[in-house]
Amino acid sequence: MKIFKTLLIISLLALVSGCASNNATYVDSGGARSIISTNKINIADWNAAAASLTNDLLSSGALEKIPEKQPVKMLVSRIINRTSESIDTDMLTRKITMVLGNSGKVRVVSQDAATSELAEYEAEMTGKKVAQPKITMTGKILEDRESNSDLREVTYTFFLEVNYRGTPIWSGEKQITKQSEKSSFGF
Amino acid sequence: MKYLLYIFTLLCAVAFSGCSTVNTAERAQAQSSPQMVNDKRIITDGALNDYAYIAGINESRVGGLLKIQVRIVNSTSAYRSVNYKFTWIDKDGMEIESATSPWMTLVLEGGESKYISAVAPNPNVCDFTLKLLPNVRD
Repeated sequence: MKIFKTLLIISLLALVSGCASNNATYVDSGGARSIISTNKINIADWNAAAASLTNDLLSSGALEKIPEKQPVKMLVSRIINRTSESIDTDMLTRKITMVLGNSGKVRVVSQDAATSELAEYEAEMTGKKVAQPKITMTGKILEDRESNSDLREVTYTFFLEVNYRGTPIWSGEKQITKQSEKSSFGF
Repeated sequence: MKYLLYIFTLLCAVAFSGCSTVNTAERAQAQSSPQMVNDKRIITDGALNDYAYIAGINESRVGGLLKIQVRIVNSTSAYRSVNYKFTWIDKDGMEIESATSPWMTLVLEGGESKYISAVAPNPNVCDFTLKLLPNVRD
């Protein structure tokens, strides 16, 4: 009887310690093992949207058709957030501008006030003017939710547009849809 | 006996209801002339190769950048998802990290084929690797 009691205590301890485990592990950021959910835009979604839109833009040849010497100066303008969550649109635009910058086709204008001030000062000292960006990037992020008795679904639409001297020269869209089963407790 | 037949029919209906497959039609003689890539494959997961079979890889250059397109075929009758990732190699054999090539998820209906593509991050890229991984989230 005593042995059974000891075994029971050991088993319970093992079970509890297993349940209370909070061992963290590293995974690829936004990779195949990263957590995805229907209640927010996950890192994998930002990565997928940025990659897809950048691939579309680079494949379109729109940047080569601009009658300006490359790299063309680009300003990232407003990205409108029409989702229910508070998001930092840099999660999308930073990745895109990084790739475009590295491709040698575009030079992104810094939106930092101190950097802009310094550029203006340097230009003034050499008797020049700071060149205005020739292209702008704007966009919108939309959210659409659906559900039935078993499933909940969310679709995020990432829309991006590139304009040259105020005229759209390229626009792209990436939709990401995720489904999850509803909890049996109705939460 | 009648009951057995009824149960058998019901079981068949349940078994096949989850296996809708895609029928396709295309031009008998393709007009396009893709530049196919002579590829080398390392298969470590035979089951994955059944539902994410690489039917062909072709390449082109867009604005001086290498573009790779791969046709993936789900040769099973079940709905499947697969993760994929492109990596890029420059002429010196060095891997180039790029935000355009994260792990992406591709969903395929039974019997469906889809194209995936990616553009190299800079003009120095001349080679690529495509990695495929089963759905590891379930």
